[in-house]
Amino acid sequence: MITICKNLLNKKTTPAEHIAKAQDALILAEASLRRGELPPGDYIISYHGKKKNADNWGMTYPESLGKLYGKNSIYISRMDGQKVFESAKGNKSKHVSIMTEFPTLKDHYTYGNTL
Amino acid sequence: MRYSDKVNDHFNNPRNVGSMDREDPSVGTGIVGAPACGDVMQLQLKINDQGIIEDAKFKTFGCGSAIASSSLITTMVKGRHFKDAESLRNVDIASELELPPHKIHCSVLAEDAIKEAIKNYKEKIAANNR
Repeated sequence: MITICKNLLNKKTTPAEHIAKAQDALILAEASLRRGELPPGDYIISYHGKKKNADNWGMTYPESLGKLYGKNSIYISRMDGQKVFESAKGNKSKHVSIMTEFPTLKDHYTYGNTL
Repeated sequence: MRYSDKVNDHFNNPRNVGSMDREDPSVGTGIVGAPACGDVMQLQLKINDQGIIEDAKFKTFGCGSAIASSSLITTMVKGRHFKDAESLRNVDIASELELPPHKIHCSVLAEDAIKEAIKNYKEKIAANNR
């Protein structure tokens, strides 16, 4: 199952483009999961990690601004910590930028968290 | 390669782009395709108690033919009974859009999306009737 972190879906603090980007990533992730391109399991789409529970997994948009890792601001994470992704650097990882995992998003959205 | 005027029309002015609440029991969602191959299509159908498709929305990541195929099917299924929509075949879409042979797979994806969305709707109805 794939969910989007509630902090990211907060319409009061998150830019509409980021919510749309996360929702598009959800579609692509579900397609990957159904075809077995992603191993079965639970995943979450969020800003960079925070408390690691399903509702409060990642930061809010304001919290994510100005972070060193903010450039690749929205991630998809394997919730049980298994390293199922390959990062842009080729490392096995438990999370990865949605733009790395789903490059087709680059056709529609800006890369970083600043608009 | 030159696309037909109908493909260009649906690609440049896609109808019914967007999404609906996938938790809504009257909304069936179909997601088909493979990100690794390039084309992914989400089709959502809102179906009323009489089985009529009241609304249809799509989001497609892919080529012009895939976008045009999904745009066209939303216009083809609206107002029809879901059992009637289920009988739509990819050849109906391909012939309407005059797709070239190497783009037929886009119409197959659209047919699959309709079937998946209706299957999801039926599963929701069955779960609610338990």
